[in-house]
Amino acid sequence: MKTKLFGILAFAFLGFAHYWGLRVAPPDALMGDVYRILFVHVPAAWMAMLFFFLSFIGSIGYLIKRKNSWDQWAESTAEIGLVLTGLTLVLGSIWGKPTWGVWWTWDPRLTTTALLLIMYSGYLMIRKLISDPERRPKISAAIGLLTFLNVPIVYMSVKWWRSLHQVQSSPQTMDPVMVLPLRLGALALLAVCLFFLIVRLKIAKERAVREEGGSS
Amino acid sequence: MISFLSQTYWILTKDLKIEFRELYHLISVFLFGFLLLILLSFSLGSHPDLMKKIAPGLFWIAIFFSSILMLNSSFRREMEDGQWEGLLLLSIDPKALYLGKLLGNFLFLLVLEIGLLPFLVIFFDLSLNPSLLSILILGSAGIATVGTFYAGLITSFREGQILLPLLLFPMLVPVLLASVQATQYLMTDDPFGQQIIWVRLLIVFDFIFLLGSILLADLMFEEPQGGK
Repeated sequence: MKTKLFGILAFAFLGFAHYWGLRVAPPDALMGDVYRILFVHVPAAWMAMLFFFLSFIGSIGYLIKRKNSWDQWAESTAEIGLVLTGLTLVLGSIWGKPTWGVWWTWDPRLTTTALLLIMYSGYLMIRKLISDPERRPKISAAIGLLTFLNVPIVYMSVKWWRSLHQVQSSPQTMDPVMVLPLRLGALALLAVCLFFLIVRLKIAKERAVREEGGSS
Repeated sequence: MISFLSQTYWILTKDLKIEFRELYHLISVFLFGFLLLILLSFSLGSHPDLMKKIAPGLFWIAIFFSSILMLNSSFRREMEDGQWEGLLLLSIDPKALYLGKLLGNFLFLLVLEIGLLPFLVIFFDLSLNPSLLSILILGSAGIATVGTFYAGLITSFREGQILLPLLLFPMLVPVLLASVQATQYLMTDDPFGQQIIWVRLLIVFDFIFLLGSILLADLMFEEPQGGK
């Protein structure tokens, strides 16, 4: 019941933040209204990174503590991170078409994000493949850890290419009228993701209980 | 208790001996890489200048695909015939087993690459530079390090062999990128000394993943019941 209430509040907050971004914030001097996707796209990218990092923590936690709850944490956060990465790419494409004139280009930032999507899809696929509940967490933790190790390398290695994706604006270079809805949007998305995480962890726990009942 | 290094050496020589007794496996991997080079050069038409430019990329793609064939079968013998249990009974250190396998795969990759190089020179009209060897060594080390680890983790599952490239190739993107760029700068001219950046990336990648894989190697061989 509490979870449901939290979920409703989180979505209401998201709606409020987006109302701010869509209606209250002024249009951009160069891009007009197209820029408004920033209020969704940028928070999605931030949260995707955050959740992959949380998944990495989960993998480490499992390797140290060997508790299944860490493994469930790693899986749930990775799934949410994957959805957010997909969302980031789709939203970026929608913005790219009117701005750059193409849906997709092999820009380093875009390429690394797409690679993240493939890497974590592989990670989640291998999780589904291993039916042995005793071996699954160990192998997944190993793969999850190595997968994340690659993220900064990929990110840094392509920074040496020239990039089409614009450099991040800092709050100093942005109008405060636009910074506020961006921050609101990020916070709201975080709340929604936390709601997803709570629900997903519950599902993972129930699944684990069922697996234990089935195997013994 | 045999020392760690001699265990590694023992695993390595065991694999090498078997591999040279059944040479057909190594030969088929080589033929596969060779065919890939031919097919890639056919499919891209006959523009000598263009071919020269993209030759390093084609070469490394051929190596990547061939390496999957090699990696998929690198734990095959251990999975069959109950050899796994045998190794566990001998209480081999999992880290030594991993390192032995890694060295074996690394050597095979190097042999494969050096075998394919002459054809690269003939098909694409390239000139070779002796320092290419260092790039080959670093690149193969990267492929073998992550590849052996993943192969050990997942080939025991039925669908593991199909999944291996899916998991491995995205992981190896930095290796591919750096190897291709470094090879390219070596074969064409490099007025701004950019090659060293990519060589450095290869070294960093090899180091990080070697360390990570060795630390995690114990997980590969844990028995289902044997968890702490």
